Amino acid sequence: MSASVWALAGRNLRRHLARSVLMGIGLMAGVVCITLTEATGEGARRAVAQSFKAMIGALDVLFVQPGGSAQRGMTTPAANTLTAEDAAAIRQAVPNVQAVGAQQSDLGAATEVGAKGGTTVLFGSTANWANIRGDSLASGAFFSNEDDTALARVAVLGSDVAHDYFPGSSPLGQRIWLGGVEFEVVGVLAPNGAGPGGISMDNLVYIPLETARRRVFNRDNLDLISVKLASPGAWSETQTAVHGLVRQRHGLAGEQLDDFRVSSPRAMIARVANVDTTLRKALLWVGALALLIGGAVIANLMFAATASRRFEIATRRAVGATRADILRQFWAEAVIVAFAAATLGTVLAVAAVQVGARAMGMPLAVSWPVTAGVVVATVVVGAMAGYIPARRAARLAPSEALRTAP
Amino acid sequence: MIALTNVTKVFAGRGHPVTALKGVSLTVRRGEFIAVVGPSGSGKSTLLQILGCLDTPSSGTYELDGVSVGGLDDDALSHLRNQKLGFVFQGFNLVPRTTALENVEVPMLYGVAPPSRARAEAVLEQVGLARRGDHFPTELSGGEQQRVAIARALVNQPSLLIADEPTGNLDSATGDQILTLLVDLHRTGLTIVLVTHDSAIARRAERTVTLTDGHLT
Repeated sequence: MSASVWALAGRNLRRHLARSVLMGIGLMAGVVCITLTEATGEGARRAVAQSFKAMIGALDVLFVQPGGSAQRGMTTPAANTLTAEDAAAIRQAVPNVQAVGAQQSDLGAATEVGAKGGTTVLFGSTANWANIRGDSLASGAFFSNEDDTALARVAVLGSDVAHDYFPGSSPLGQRIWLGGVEFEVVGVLAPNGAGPGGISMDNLVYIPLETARRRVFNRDNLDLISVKLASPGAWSETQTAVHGLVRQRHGLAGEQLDDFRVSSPRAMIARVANVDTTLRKALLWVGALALLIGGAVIANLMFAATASRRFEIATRRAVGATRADILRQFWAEAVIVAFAAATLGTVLAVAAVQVGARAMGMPLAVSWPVTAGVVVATVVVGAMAGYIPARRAARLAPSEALRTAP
Repeated sequence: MIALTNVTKVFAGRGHPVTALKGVSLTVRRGEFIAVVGPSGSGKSTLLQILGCLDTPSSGTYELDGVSVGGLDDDALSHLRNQKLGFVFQGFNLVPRTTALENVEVPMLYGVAPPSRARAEAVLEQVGLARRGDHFPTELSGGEQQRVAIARALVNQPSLLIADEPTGNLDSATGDQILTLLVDLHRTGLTIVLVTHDSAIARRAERTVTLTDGHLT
């Protein structure tokens, strides 16, 4: 279509402003309804993703944990077969792996500083752990590979632990007893915030893995291997490769059940953040229905316009417009109305989301891919609704122009 | 220029077909101004539709500027109307809520060359409405509206101007001014076919043909 068709259609719409507004208002209501409903879902999804991120750090990782998942109604007994050699083999043999971290843990390790005592979550981790998680330090530094090899008794505290045991003073260089062994504090992590269920993700302490193995836990089996992916999009293939390798290393043949499990935080988030409640579904249907009614309104008003503008149409035909010219002109009017309604509806909805999220603290967020999809769908509805009246207009005989004006 | 040869137009009426034109032959030379007169029901409108390429003959041939109109499809007829014909209607037929200048530009929208505002302004000046270009039809008198319509008919420089009762909706003084404008245009070389039921108006043309019951005399 040439530019003049759009210009002419736009001019006609402006000069019949009331009719144009009526044409678009139904579509606009549909766009607002769908965009707002989608914003509640996207807000919920982002809130869940945020709390998961606090718990597991980066999302572009795979986790290997001991013990198989439930299969055929049976759960394999808790296994202690996951080893540092498994972690090394994954690093060497599996493609798309950027880094591998290994960890032992004690969820209730005795902790003492002077007269103050309690329990914290104690992790023995490889030196790359903070990097893999994407944790940053508030002060000091994370321990190094040399600390690990040397079985150094150094500890990095979560912000809650630092605050609870060393109130009002810097813990760096201070002593802390963990699992009956004395450590020197070398770093304090920046706060992570709350994880799923609101549990604090800052009540924890990291010590080097080898130190934990030989001096504190006195065991070799790992509780967690974290595999950081080079290319996060291919997590599914990498998950399969890790699974196959560990099965092979653990000598598991054919029918034997896994004694470990490989999981992806993305899959977990997708399960937990399933926000398609009945209300949301109903609202999305209302929005779709509004779009449909908006389309019907456009078709209806355009049929009426075709009837009242038959003289104009016939005159245009008489002075040289082809059927295609008339079809394009009327169709362009419907498409412009639909596009304007979609744009205006999106602007209104996004403004409402911003006000709701910023000023009122509601969990709302605009999902731009969905918004783009709604705009496209609205224009398609408008184009479809406008096509049949436009075709009817185009079929009007040019000799109608010779009849006496109404 | 125009050669109608033995043209018949039959409409499929209810029950039995209606023959509106019965073997009409008519030749109009370039630069001629002819009037077609006849009472209502004589087939004037049908002849006008055929001449104006708004419809095609049932039998016989119609040649316009050397082009045989009979075999053309709808798009080709539209193109022919756009390039070779100019229409002036009894009811002016201006597009509502569209300024005089924009009305004059309408045929250019469907032409081969890109629309030219200067060209539209020039023909509006030619019909004496240079200062009324931004007025809407409702702000113009009947005579002014018909002048805009004439400007619109001229804007693509047609070979033939077809005027259907151009003064029918005007008072006699205004109608006379419009006729004078047509006569002036004819003097510049424009070919005009004017259809009317009023023999006084027909006398302003060079030649008059009369249509009676589908026959031309």
